[in-house]
Amino acid sequence: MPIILEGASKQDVVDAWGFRGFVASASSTQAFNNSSGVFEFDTADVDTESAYDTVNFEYVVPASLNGERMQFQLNTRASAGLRHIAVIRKNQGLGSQIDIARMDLGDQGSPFAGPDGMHCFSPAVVVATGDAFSARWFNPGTGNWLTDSIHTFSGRVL
Amino acid sequence: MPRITDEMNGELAALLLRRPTFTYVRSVADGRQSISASTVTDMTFPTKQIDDFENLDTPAFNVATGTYTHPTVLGTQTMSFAAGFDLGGTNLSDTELIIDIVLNGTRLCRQQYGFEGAVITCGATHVAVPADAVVKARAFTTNARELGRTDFNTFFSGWVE
Repeated sequence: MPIILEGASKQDVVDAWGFRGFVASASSTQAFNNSSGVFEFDTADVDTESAYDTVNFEYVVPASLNGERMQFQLNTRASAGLRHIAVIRKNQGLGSQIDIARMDLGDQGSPFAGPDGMHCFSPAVVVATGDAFSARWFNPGTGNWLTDSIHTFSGRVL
Repeated sequence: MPRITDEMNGELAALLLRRPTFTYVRSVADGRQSISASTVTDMTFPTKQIDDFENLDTPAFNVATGTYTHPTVLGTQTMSFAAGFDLGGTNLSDTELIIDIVLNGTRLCRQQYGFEGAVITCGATHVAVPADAVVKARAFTTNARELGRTDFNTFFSGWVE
């Protein structure tokens, strides 16, 4: 068991020892057709702050996590043709939307014959109340889709 | 989870309980980093985003070398690391990009892709990091290229779990 010494608040202990954040999954296969958009992760399997929006498919940082450091991951498995996946941050203060992590299979045509795992890790970022984090895909081809049910979008307080 | 020992003072205990974290990036202002053909290149990340380790007696992250050296005073900790490299539209049609995170020369994770405009990320979790261990991110291509464009796509992060 750990020994908790002076200098650590109760909240520090809670933060250090308990998972805080979310894990979201998709309840059905999604068809991609020559476009881009948000991964429709519509199920919050874990959501300690009740902050995951299952309608707009984004994690909206609550006031209780303002200033915390979080890290996000996107794991998926796609048919050949899916080109990019990304974790997107919409920052309320800046009014901007940026990629904070991206994985790209390239634009030269389908480099792989079959479904491939794609994994996207964000850096540790300081989050602010109202920031919205979502998972996006970019697909210049047609007739492509996600397969299986192994796709997750997650974030945790560090 | 952090491991706190009797020998640690309160300040150090508080640091560990906050899951100390670092994130460094190659920002747009830093420019891209050249990597030579068929040569493993240690990536550097000159711009700090977060660093809870910098106020220790010896700062853990060396921006000149892009290297994290696990502080002796923290002892062995379980940590996670993540890195991402962005070619910023550079044509990769004739080569591949491989990225690794290594601990004392041992690879923790690898991602490998080719073709144009690659952005790839790599992560490792639940890594036992002993005191004084050296962790870095490195890249390899079969043809000379430059890496780094946006702040967040070219990054190196680590944190105590």
